[in-house]
Amino acid sequence: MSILNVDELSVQYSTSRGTVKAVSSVDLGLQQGETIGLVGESGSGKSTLGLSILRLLPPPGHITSGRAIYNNIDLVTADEAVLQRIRGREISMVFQDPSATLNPLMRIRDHFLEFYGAHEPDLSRSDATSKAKGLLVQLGIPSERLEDYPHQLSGGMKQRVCIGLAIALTPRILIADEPTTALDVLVEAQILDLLRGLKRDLNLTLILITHNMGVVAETADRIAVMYAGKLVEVGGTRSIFQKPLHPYTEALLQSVPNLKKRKQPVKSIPGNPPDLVDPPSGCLFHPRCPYAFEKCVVKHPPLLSLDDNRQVACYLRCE
Amino acid sequence: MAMEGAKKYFPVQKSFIERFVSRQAEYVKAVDGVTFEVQRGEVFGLVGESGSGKTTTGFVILGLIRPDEGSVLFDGTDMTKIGDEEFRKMRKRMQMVFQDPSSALHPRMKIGQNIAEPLRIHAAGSAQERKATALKMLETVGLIPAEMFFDRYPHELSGGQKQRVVIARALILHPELVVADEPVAMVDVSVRVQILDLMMKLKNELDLTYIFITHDLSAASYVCDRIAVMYLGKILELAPKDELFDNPQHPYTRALLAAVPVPDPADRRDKVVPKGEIPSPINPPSGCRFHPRCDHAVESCCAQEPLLKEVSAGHVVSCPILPFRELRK
Repeated sequence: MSILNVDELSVQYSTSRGTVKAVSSVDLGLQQGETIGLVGESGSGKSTLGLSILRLLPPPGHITSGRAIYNNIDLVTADEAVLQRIRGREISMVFQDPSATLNPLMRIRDHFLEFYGAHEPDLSRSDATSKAKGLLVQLGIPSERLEDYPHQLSGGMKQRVCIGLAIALTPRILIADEPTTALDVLVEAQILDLLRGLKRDLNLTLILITHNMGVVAETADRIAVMYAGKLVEVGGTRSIFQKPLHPYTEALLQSVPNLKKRKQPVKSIPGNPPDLVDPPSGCLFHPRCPYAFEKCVVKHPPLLSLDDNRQVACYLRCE
Repeated sequence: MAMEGAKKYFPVQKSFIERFVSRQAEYVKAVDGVTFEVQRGEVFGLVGESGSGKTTTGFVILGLIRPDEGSVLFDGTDMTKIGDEEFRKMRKRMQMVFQDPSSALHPRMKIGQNIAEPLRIHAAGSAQERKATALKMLETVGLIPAEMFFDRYPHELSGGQKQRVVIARALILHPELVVADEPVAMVDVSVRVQILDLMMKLKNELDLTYIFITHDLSAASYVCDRIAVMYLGKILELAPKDELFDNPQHPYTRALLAAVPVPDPADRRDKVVPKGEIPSPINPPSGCRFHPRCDHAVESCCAQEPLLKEVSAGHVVSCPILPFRELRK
């Protein structure tokens, strides 16, 4: 069952250099209970897409067209009051850098009090505190840490607190934007374990935004690959890893060294990601694509649905 | 290059009142007795989590930080004992590539000036010659047409291109040793292997020796010949790359390797991740520094600081309970 449907969503940033088409016409359906890995490099629009779903885009970013339907509500056009009820309670978000997410001048307890104050005004302070304590323990942090300031916690603990704030009202969808990128390998593994456990226990639908192919391989059920603001390929994790259909996905997978298969050749992708103020014509990947032909330079290929729940935007697969 | 028992303790800043309350000075033991050798032409990896002391070790090698104890030998000369003049000459032979190319380049200097700056500092050649050298260097690192890049400013370049500039600047004095501190951590995923390939190509063309500092074991596996695993200012294990990955001995190394996400959905398994996080280097645990998080720890682990022991040719481990059977599997 579909829980969230993103439909033709486009987002732009107006800058002094011109308009950046950060996300262009993205269609993405999210199934209840799945983990979808939104993969791409910096500037591919994956974070912008995540923020747009909750309409949290900082200016000068704005949604220019499209819809994001959740529970028959279009999040793009909904009233701020409606959104306020959805944020945190229905859909919530965890960000990349926990140090930047928590207020350095507020105790952990006050973060939770502020959160409950905004979302559950009827809850008393003492009830809110005891709920916060319960959450911390569930996340593996001793409850006395509630009195600490963020700087007294380690990076992993801070991210646990952020996750605690995000799941405090048991939302149905959790958007995790590079939740482990700022963390060390061992802590990363701990946090991914935690997210997988929470997903199971709370029946969450998880949108995992990351550039790390290893993280999606271990966590996601489905993968959506973004390049330069467009979805280029969507499909099941196993089938994408086994047989990538888009040349970018293929190149991306070949460019990641695998510790377990060190003999496997690693190939770099030539060139650089495009400048989105002045994007290339046609398929945005064509300047770096080994298979590009005339048609690719003229027009961007549409995202076509194939069997096996695969979607790909490439003329090579159009026949 | 060789480092012998190098130590660097940074004093902890205390407030006025604290100084009265406690007499004892506290130190961050960033590098605490590190010994290793790097052969000419080798790519030596220093891997570890943040706070393991790998970057400080890199700084000590280059003489950017003076060690409190121990020596750093470069081509037979003890860098910690020579005068400033001699030091400057030696420094020409070793250079650094930094993690963040955006902050490593001067934003108001053109790319060409950035690259030629080391030549200017070491007064090599006329302005004309310096420009010619810089142009050639730009071509060497693949920024073509060089004339066009020469007159650009850093903000006009992408992350990968900027890192190429940083590499060009590090190589322009023809160093013998390059310390690369997380050279691809800030670079886009699709460009990372490009940069690593470039570094390896330049190594072969220019006869370089690399010390490659990283937290990314996959990147280390791609370029390094030998790898040292650091934890809280100490080397816990050091081995040739394949030996380290195929036959890791130290419980910490094993945990680290198991924790790396593998880009292969067929290889999903449950991982045993050690609890907790890297402790503070101000008062590191006694004995083996990893013992509080180690599944195999026995009583003696907290009492005695283990020494590096050779388990096979070129493979040394500092674990007090090694070798024991379960671990050797």
